[in-house]
Amino acid sequence: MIGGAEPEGEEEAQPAMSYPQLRRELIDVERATLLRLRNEGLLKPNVVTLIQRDLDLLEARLQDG
Amino acid sequence: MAKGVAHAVAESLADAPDDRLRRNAVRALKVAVDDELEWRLGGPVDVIVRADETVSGGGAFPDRELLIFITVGVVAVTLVGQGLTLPALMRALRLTGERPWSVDEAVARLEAAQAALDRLDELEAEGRVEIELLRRMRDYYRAQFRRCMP
Repeated sequence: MIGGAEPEGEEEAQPAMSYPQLRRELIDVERATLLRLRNEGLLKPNVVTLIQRDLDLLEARLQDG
Repeated sequence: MAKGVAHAVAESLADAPDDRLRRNAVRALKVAVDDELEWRLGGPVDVIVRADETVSGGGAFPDRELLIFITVGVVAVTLVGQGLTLPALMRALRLTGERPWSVDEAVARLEAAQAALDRLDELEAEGRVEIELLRRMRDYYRAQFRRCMP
């Protein structure tokens, strides 16, 4: 865990993610889910576009910051 | 006032999807208006209250009535003027509130939010995210669920 003692013999823990890193990771997960739903024919393209736009804006704000 | 507005707007932009951004921007505008009212009324009312009938020495306060008239006029014009133009400004900025989701969109957003929550669980197990950040992001995605509840 973060800040905890590192148990012996375990691999070195990866550094904690920053907010922008985490946000991008989660945005990517959301995008992948949308594409899966679209590819499975469960989601209309216009709905995908609407949600993608929000995700794009979120990501753009991360870049601006 | 500018500091208060900047702070409110910065907070609203910190972490918001499009609809939440609009909601928070409306909140920031309300804060701005409150600040403006305090600034606009606080100073002039002070001026009126402090404009004694007489000045030290016993003479009449020069142009006291004119001063009060101008002060009240400025307050009225700026408040009414801004009050009348604020709705137009909000319309121009398209701050019209939340767009309702269709059933398809709601289902897709919930599915995406669930996937993100699952990923957060994985990252927590890997010890890669600070507790506070985890809480913040979980709250964000849970809010998506709440938005779909009646």
